[in-house]
Amino acid sequence: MGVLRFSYILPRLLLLVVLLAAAEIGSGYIAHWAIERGGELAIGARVEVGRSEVSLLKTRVQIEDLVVANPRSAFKNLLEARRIDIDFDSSALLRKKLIAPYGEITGIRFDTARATSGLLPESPPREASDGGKSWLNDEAAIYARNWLAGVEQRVTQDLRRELKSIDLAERLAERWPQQYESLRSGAERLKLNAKELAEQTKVAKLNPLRHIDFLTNLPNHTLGLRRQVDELHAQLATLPNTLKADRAAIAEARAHDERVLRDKLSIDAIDAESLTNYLLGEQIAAPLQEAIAWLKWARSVVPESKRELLATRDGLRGENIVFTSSPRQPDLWLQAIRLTGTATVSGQPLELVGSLRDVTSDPKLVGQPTVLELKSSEGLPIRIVATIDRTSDIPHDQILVDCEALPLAAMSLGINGPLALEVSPTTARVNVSLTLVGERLTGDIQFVQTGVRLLPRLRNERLRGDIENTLAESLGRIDQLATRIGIEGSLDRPRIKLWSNIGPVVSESTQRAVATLIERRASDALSLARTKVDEQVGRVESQLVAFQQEIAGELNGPGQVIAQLLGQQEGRPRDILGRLPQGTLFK
Amino acid sequence: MLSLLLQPIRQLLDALLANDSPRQVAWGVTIGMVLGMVPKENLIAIALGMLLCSLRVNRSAGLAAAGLFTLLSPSFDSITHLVGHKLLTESSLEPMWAWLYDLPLGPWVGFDNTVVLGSLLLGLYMSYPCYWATLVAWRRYRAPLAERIARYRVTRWVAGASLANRLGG
Repeated sequence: MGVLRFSYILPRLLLLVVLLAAAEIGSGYIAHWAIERGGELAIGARVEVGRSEVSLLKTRVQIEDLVVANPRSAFKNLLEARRIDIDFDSSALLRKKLIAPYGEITGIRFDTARATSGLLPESPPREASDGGKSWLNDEAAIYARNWLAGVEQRVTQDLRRELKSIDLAERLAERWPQQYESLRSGAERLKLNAKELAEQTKVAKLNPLRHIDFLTNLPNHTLGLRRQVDELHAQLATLPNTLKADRAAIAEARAHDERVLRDKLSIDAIDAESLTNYLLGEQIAAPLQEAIAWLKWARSVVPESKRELLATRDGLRGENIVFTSSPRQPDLWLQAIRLTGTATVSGQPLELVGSLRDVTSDPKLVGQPTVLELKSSEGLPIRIVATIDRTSDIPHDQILVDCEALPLAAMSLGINGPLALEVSPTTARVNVSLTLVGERLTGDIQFVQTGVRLLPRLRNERLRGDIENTLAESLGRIDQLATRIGIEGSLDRPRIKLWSNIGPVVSESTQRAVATLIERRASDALSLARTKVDEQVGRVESQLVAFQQEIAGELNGPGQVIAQLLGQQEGRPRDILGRLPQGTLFK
Repeated sequence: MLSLLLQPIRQLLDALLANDSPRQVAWGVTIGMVLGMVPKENLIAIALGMLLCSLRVNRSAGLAAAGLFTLLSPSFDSITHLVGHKLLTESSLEPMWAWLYDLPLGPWVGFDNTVVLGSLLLGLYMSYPCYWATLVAWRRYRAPLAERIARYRVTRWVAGASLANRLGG
């Protein structure tokens, strides 16, 4: 009887062989489960594998039809890959290391649609979107909106009511006829009185004794009548002076009107930055928010230090000692993976090739950041480089995008405000650089659109003809539209600074158009007032001479009567009573 | 199901009542003790398990000892960690550890872990006393203990027909 139990060992050796064979076959299923479960834990959305094959002997992993759902969109996939081939280093595997010097992922497609929701049942609800507007200088956009609304209000208001000269002219038009009428009626009354006095005098002369009282008072009546005539003459004589005073008042009212119009119609100059925020704010807020949300997601998927996670692993007893003289390698290191696939950018299909380098569980040990590089092999020239650097204590992430001629569809800027710009379809050179060091976010996004055509659209129909034409003329000179977005702050509180040549051009041409329009409206209003006033004054002037002549003519009669009566009284005083009839007692 | 639940007790009784020699039982307990002391997620534990099953020793006693020391071993972690740490960080030994670690399957062995190395060494250190203690105790107490246990009906019921036959034989 030997020490070893061969009856025990042999069947178990056989079992071991069977187990190894089963592992060779069944590890694919284990990998299938592990990729789906591990991927879902890491991504936070469904990960589906069509088929997976793992060969322990060949140390190779093949995965087909991998689908990773988009954690931020239920019915979209983040990416699909038709086939993944990774050859692991068998020597490293014997040393408990998963190191793949080379791999290949083919048939990658981004942002594809999916029939069922890709969100996990336990997925946290997506953060409520603030629209990204708060990151921009909203106050500036509100200021621009209010400025445009103010212009609209000032230009469309009824200015006639504000003009003092028109009011004065209207009052003159009422007052002068009344004055004329008053003088005319006075003259007529005098005429009647004179006629009546002459007739009464005539009658009284026939019978002086009977009309002794009248004849006694006749000089007083006559003098009173003459005084009234004189007063009327005096009033007539003051009319030109009154007219002169009215002219002076009108001149003063005109000066006042001009001052008021200038004050009322003058508008503050709007700064270009505010207008840029107003026009481009809504357009860029959503994509910026999306980009920053993806950065946040990337930061959550790739935490700051993998090593810390390993150290805090549950159930680990003791401490794994790292031998300084032993060459150290990370537990997982995918050194280089070739990527090929397709994508659709602005509706154009792209063939993409690229690489994913240095995906590792211990970036500090590897000393190289994980770099994803994609570029188009044909069609639209585009290059994307994403760097995830965890080689130091401060995480460092960067995204660079460079596209020579990105086709952009037609768009409307400032569509919800009083002024909108229709931008024709064009191509743009796009440079994106977003860097996240620790929690500090910096970035610079530049768009240069060439061959651009801008068409202004004003909401207020009354302004369209005037301002739109001026704006269209100014904007027609723009061939290139350059926009720069500066980003600072943190992922939670980014601050966006917008600059574009559209702001200064629109600001300058809007102000010019508005100033021209206001000048014209002011001059129209003043001209209208002047015409109206001149018309009224002219009418008064032309009527004045005729009126004076008319009234003077009217007063001639009473004047002669008065002169006659007074002449009789002065020339022949005793004849006032007249000669008494023959045979009377008082002859 | 009941059979499965009773299997450990049956194995314990089997160890007591089987006709294996005291040396086989002592070796079984010793290997089981070392296996129980060592954390299980490494090649050392797998090798010890295979050793226990492959050698002509009392497997039941070994498995019982492994189970018992698996429960007890975490309470020795503070000591075993110190022992392992001392040895693994000893500068004169480091080239050897590094060489061993760099060998194929080296990291799978798990000796770079302070508790694995410390508990293995502690187990090996305790193996000789454990062997002799088990041997002496078995020789002295096996027969009266087996006789006493065999009296109980429950023993017959738990141990089942095979054991009854063995006792009868």
